[in-house]
Amino acid sequence: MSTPVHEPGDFLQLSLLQGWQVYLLTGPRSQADLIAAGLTPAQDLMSAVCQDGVLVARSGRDEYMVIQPPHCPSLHGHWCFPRTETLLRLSGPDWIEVMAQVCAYDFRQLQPGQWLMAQVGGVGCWLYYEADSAALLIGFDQSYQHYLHSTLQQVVADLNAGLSPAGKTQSAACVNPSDVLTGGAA
Amino acid sequence: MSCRLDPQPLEWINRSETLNFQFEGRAVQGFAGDCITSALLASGQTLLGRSFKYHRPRSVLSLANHDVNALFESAEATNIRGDVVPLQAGMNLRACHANGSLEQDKDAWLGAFSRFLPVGFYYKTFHKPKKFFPFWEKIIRQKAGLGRISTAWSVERQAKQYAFCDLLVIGAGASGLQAALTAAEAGADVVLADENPHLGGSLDYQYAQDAQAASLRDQLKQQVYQHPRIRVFSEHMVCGWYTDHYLPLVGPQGITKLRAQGVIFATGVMEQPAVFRNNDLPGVMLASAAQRLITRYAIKPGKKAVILAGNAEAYSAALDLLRAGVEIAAIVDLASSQTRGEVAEDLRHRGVKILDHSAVYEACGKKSLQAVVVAPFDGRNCDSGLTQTLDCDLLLTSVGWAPTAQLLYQAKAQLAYDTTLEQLLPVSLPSGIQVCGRVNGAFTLAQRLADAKRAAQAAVAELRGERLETDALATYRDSQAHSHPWPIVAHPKGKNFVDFDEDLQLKDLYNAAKEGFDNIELIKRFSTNGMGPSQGKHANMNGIRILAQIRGQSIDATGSTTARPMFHPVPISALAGRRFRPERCTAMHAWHLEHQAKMMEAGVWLRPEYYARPGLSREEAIFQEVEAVRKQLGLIDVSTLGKIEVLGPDAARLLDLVYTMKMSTLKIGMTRYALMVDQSGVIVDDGIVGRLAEDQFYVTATTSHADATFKTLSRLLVELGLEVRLVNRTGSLAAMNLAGRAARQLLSGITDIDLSEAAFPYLGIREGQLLGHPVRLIRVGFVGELGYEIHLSAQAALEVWNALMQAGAPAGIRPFGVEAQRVLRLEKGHIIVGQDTDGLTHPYEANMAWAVPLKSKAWFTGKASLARLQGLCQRQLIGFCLPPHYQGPIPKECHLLIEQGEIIGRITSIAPSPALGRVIGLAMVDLPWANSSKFLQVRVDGGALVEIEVCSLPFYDAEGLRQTADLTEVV
Repeated sequence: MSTPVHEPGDFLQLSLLQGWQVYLLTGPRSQADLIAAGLTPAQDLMSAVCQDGVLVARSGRDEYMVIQPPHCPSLHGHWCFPRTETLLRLSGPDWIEVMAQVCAYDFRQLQPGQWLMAQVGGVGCWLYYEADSAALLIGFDQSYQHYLHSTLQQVVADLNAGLSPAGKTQSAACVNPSDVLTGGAA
Repeated sequence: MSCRLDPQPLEWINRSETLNFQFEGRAVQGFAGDCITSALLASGQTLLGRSFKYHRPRSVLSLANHDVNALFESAEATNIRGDVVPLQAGMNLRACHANGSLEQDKDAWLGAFSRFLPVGFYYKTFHKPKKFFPFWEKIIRQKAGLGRISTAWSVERQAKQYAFCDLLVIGAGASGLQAALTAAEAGADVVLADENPHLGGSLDYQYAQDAQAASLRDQLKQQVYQHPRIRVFSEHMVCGWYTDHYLPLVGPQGITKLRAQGVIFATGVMEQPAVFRNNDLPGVMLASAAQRLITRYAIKPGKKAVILAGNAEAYSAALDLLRAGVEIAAIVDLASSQTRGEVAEDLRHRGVKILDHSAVYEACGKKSLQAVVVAPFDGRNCDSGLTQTLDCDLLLTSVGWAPTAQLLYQAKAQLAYDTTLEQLLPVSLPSGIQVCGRVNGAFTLAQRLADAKRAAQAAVAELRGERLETDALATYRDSQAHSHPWPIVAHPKGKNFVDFDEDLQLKDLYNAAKEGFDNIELIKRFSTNGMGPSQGKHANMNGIRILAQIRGQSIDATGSTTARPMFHPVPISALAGRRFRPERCTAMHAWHLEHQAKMMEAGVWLRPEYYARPGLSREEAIFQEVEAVRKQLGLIDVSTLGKIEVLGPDAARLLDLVYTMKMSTLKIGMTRYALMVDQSGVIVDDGIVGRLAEDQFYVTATTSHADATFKTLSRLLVELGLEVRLVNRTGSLAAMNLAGRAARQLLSGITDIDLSEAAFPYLGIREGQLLGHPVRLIRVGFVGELGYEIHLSAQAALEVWNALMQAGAPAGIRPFGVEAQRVLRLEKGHIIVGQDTDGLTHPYEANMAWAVPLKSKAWFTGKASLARLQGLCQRQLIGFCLPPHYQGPIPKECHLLIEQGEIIGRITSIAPSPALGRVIGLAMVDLPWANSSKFLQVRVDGGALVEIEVCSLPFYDAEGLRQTADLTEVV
């Protein structure tokens, strides 16, 4: 879907992606509209598939979000609504530390290729863990762009400067979650 | 009294790094790793504080943050706890509670008047005669309180973070270290938290010279640090337990909000002071405090010591003193030293004097300990006729412990008093909670380690959902008491303190009970026992013992007060965290700022309040904007409105249920006013509903209620199983309202939609293209002029806005803001939900009976309530005006209407009307005045009454001709 944006050991980076198109399709014809557009609908609820750089997420029983890079043809459908979204890409080996300050979800549970919807800094977002780049895509309503982008930038800057709530030596989010005890996937 | 010892094996100080600081204007030195208290003691400063009420001299008591005898302030901070705050270079400190210096405290005279300041004195004094209270109040405010705050301090925020684990182990002493290791070896993801900068706890300071313990200590620590499944949070205090094992860890850099699957409490115990006359003198301290001084900071606590013993730990402490070069005058044992084990025997063989069945009757000295008076003790009382005096400058008390169980109580564990150990012990634990170590009554090292393994195995088994046959909770508890049941000695002259924070004496508790405050909750609040900064850590247990004795009942029957977070005080900067205050901006935000818009908050949105103009006041600028809309053309950004697509075969049915008006009869291409009430009939929102297709509706909602309206629609369609899809497009679509007689003329040049009156009548909705962008136009009438609401993609909005401003320039187009819009709709008598309505307003009160089709609509939310309310109206929204050219004080929103001294209503909206040339407004007025009066009175600022004239609504264009007035027709 995208090329890696960092070298191992690099600082955290937050990039604003320009020109991407996001659509919401809903209703009993939504799946058919996706297939007609040459896209593969995700099967499971709250999951996503990435195909030729286009991300298709299933956000409801018959509701899908399509996130496609610039220059892709516009999407049309029976109940297909373009969304005005801001997309950010958070990359770097410790991006999980950024999210630990702004989101109550345990990001150690998120696996590459997985999709999530959560509140980030008080804003409802969708999140996608890119399998190839190991970066986190964050999408949200554009009206929040100034607030959330600057908030995340500040968190990234603080962490890059070594400022962490648990001090320099302690990473709250390190250690993979145990699957021995909870039965979840490690 | 104190001096540095030779390097100790486990000392925290770094002798190669000297830190310079100031205390009371005097230059002092300490080492890196010192706390403030230890650095001061090392410099020879033995007096560390003055007590709260009587300004008595104070020094080290616990050195464990279980007391606040050593409280300091600097230019940048206050209430700095010297016992636990690390020394930093450059600190400039003073004691918190000394008037002048500690040595020459000008308020020390208060101690001489202590008999006039007993417990609860402030409830009974200073209020008669009443006229003198302001005099006393000034003095009390000056004297009361701890620490000074400066408003010049800069705001500090410490970011918080979330964290997760399988098991949180609280406390990194022997038990905690073992529990963490056992759990981690079993595969658990473990967080180990301890409030101290170094792991070890009492395994360090109580076993510092124990060779056997040394190898265990090193092994445990190394294994813990190296284990990949253990995260260590040292210097982190777990400040509370919240539902589902949600625990904040407070560290120097901020709070980590930890969610655990289970918690193991290895929190240990808090040493308790003995109560006797002058037990607060500098030089009197807990035995564990002396051990901490020696082990951590290499401080010799005194020259010549007496030890008051109530357990075996006292004798170990005595041995530590001997090793530190302190002479021991005597060990005073409250019971028999024969039961204290090998260490007692060792000391006896060394020739240390031991007095069995004795107690300290009194400590002697002015500003520091000089001697103690000892007397025979029968377990309850001293024989004051057989006293002897022992010279000393140090008295250690080791009489017992209280469990550090505050968070256990918060987690709903139950504790009961165990008469074998003379300690409260857990008897029942909720799911996910385990305890181990001394908090569970396991005192020897072997017991603690075994108990820790038991607890960790049980915790891991519970996480796995396994049924494991574990040892019972009490399996590894000691069989010997480590606390004396009554370490309390009465004295006719008093000054035997129970709560050091509050200067609370033994007699104060007896007097409180005599006054009827003899219940654990009442005695706490009347006497303030446990209500000081230490939060009862050194006072609660003795307070319970005393009340139990007064009541003649058991400890369990006496009970305990409720332990609530925070365990220790938490800085505001940590609680504040990073500021998350979401803010939304429309697509035209930058344009508004460039054009001098004064922005205001509308929910989380920023909207232009008005556009500033050179030479014009705020009111003048708003006035001009209103006039521009009435006479020329105006454009307002209304992108903040809620915008919801309602789709599906049951869409009409859903909207019929949610709104009072019937939406299923709405024709395609038309809109209808949409009033939403709740189940009790109260107005909660309004907007419009437009029909685009048989199964497609477009709903708008107010800015502040958009999310709630979406939630209401979402909830109802699920509850009723309706075949509906909702799409919230509030952020994706922008909206602007073009209003004025030139609106149609301007728009018709840039859209392919037929705007003629016949093709697009008032209240119509059309889809088409505008400047090449898909658009929805809605003919609205909120401001009372020919108007079109333009809804389009937010990405295209700025382009269209600019185009409209440019194309409208010849017609004198002006942007207008929220305030101008408020005036315009007021002139039309249109309500704003939440401004002209309150939490009880129903449609009949708001003159909106026309929006409530009780007879013609079978069902809608709130119908049953409105059917009852129809005949029960008690107030009415009315219009009013002031005379033209009125020059007096202008009433404001929320000013009250007064009739014969009684409140009969309030103003909800008021503004000067350019169209009418006078001030107009809306007011909610009680019946019958709303119906029958021509003139009413409003009380303005300052108390004057202003007459207002009741007017019919709307004020402007009653026939609604302006909604369709069109410049093209005129042309």
